[in-house]
Amino acid sequence: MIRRIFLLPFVVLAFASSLEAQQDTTRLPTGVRLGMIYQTLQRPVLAVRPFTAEDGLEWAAEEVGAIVRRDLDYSDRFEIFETPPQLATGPVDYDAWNGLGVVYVVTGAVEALEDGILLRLTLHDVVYGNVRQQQAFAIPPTDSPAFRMAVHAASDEVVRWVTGQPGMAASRIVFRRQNADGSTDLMVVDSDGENVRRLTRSEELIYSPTWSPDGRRIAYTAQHPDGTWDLLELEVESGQVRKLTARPGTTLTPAYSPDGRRIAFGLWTGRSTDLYEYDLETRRLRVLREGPGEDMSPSYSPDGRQIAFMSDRIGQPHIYVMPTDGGEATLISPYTYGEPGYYTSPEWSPESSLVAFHGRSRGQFQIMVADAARPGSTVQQLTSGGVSQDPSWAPDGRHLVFVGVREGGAGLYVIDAASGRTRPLVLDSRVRLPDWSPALLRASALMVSGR
Amino acid sequence: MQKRIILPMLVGAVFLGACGGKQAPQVEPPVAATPGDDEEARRRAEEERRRREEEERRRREEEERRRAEAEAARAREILAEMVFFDFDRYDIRMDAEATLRAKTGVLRANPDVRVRIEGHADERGSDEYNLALGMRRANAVRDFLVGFGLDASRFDVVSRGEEQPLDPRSNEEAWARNRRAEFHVISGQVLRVQ
Amino acid sequence: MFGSDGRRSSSRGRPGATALVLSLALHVAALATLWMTGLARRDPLPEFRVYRVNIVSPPPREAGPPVAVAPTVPQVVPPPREEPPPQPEPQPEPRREPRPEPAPEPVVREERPAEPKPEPKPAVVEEPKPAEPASPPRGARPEPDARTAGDGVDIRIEGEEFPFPDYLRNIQLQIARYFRWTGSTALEAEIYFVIRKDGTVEDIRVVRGSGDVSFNLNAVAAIEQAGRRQAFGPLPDGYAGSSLPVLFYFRPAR
Repeated sequence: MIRRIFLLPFVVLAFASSLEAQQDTTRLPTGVRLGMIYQTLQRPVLAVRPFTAEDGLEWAAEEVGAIVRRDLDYSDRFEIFETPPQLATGPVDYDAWNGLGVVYVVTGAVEALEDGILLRLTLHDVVYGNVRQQQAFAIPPTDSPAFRMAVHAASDEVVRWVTGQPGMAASRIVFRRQNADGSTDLMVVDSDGENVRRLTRSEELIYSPTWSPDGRRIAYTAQHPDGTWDLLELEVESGQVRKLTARPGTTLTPAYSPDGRRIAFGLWTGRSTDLYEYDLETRRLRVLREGPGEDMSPSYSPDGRQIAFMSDRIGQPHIYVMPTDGGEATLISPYTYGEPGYYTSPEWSPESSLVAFHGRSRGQFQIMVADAARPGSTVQQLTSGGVSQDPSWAPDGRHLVFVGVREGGAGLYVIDAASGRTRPLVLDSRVRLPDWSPALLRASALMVSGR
Repeated sequence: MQKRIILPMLVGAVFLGACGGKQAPQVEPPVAATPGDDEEARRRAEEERRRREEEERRRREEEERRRAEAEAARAREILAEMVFFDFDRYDIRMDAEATLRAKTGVLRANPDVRVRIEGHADERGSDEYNLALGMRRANAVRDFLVGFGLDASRFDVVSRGEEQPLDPRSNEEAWARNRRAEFHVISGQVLRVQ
Repeated sequence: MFGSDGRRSSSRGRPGATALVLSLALHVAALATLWMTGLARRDPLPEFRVYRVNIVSPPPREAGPPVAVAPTVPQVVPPPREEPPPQPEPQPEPRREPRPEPAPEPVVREERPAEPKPEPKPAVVEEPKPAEPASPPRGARPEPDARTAGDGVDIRIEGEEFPFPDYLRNIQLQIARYFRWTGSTALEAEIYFVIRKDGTVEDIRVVRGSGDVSFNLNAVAAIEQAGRRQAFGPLPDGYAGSSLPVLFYFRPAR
């Protein structure tokens, strides 16, 4: 009896639950199920108003404003919106901008400093109707060689305000230019295509320039008249060149480790090309991978623990990844048994597990991207039409420079891997083998507080 | 080798003597019956003979020089002849073998000659990989020649990658011509064919 | 159920006082629980019927100099045409769609199972082409096929016809404009809210959290702020209900 009494409440509860269930099925308002892919929509509409200036600096304001506007456009993170004349001056009218569908407005003001100009940038959030961020930056004078790079750093900071990641405007691309008389020039250009300069000229062939992680040095290989290749390092600031390895032979395709302490490269041993790593401090050389065939074009992962490289050991050139400390190599380029493949020039993204390279597709070379974390998964082809080779990642892990032949001409092009947008960088059929620097200047170095 | 020069020379001389060739007009000594004249005539005849011999010798040397030049030119030609490769390959083709074998003859005949072998690639593909390919090609050629008993130290091996195309066009014909090994004499005299 | 077990007859005589009190207490507790449960579930989540929404986003941008985007005014856009998913036109650069950050999730369309090394694995180079839309299963909640084409969202949800797709499109647009998230791009969440007749918003709840409090707050804030400024606009005239419940998901591109 006691047992049954205790059972009763549970029975009641059970009945109550069934009552509840019955309640659910009575008439209820019906609704809609919607959603969004929040990443695709992260390309907000942004307008850059004409920058204001105190007296005498109007030209500087115009110049700075043009650089910022172009940097924000080239970041491929925004839809740049032309400022209508009636909204170009005065306080920012959030309602009017909102009515146009704009999400952000950037305003800038330029003042004189003793040794340059002060640039105040303000990011207005039109949707929320407030100032999202603002910062003052100390910029060198407009005739200083450091002027443009400083403005680029400020633009990169604006990109960071909106997206959380800095832009890649404050960076350069090194490349080689082959002249008709047989000499080779080592050249640099700013990320926006301006400021093309020559770093060195060599009477012999120069190949494979690559930036050090601190952006201060460029390693490259140069050929001797007797055919051997030396590994050289140029200090960009001073122009000094030094030879890196004492070992004679033919070094190819160098790459710095992310900590800047080691350089990996291919070394022709007389029988084959093997992968070596040279420690710049201890000056020790160690073998990464040896064997028949050509193993070359190494590229470190961002954590330095893995290396992507090209090897033709199976009879055709393909892209592999292997642990830096040694171990098995895993194929990541597309392979179809019985079909000829040709995949070379890998470069590991500085920000992710993606490896870019070029390979043949329908007869022409195109830029492709594979995910080293998922070997065997679909490889993405970024370019089509014309010829595209030798990709190199921007520091934002999103843009790539490559050598392209297009209707517009042959030369260096930049593509945004996320949107596919492509722009020419240097149009010159003599240029090859580009390498994109790390960020050369961060806005934090320029920020001025309390003003 | 000396015999080889003398024999043709002798033969040439005989032929020259027999066929006449370009001969200086014979000067007949005048028919005179004075004792002083005889002495004079003998002397003149002697001079004449010497002159003729001199000219013969010069002629023979001229012939030899021309022949030697022709041979040297032929030897240089053989040495300079390029060999070609298939796309992305560095193995020696059949048509290349004959060319290379002829080179071994010339190289053996001129032991002080050193050669730079340059490997080239066509423009397709990676610049850097083409550099390695050029090296492979040049090395394959050198290995082939060394296989015939020639000393490896006589060769410099250089890759030019895709930098120096023979034919700047972008078609199959041009590419086939650009995939090559070139030979450049860097020291020594090339004189004989074999 | 009640009847079958409800016999009170006992052959053992009457229960003691303790047992009676205990039983009473239990009954009270049970009833109280029942009542309280009823309270907490006074407004149950509505059963969501999925409506057919066929929203076609504007075609992807061409490469070249930036073009000023046609202003996206928070208004009704013309109803989309009923048509198969737009194919990207053959273009010089195939990757038109704004893609997500390549890190850490590149757009990988077909995934093949990883095969044991060191065999070279057959891998397919994905030529730029649209993803095949997932065929919608019949039933109450087919997965929406979200393709990342164009600047907006290309959503297709099979189901019943909802007569105001442009209003729904605007909801998506506005939440996108108000959403300010710059952190991890791998989080997902579903937020429920109700749009009143006048376009304001009430009863915002996190139905399925992302696991990241900050992300959830951002998602809720976007809806809250949009509602506060009546960005969704009043409910369409032809709509019969007095309010519109919405179950909104935030999802990264795959």
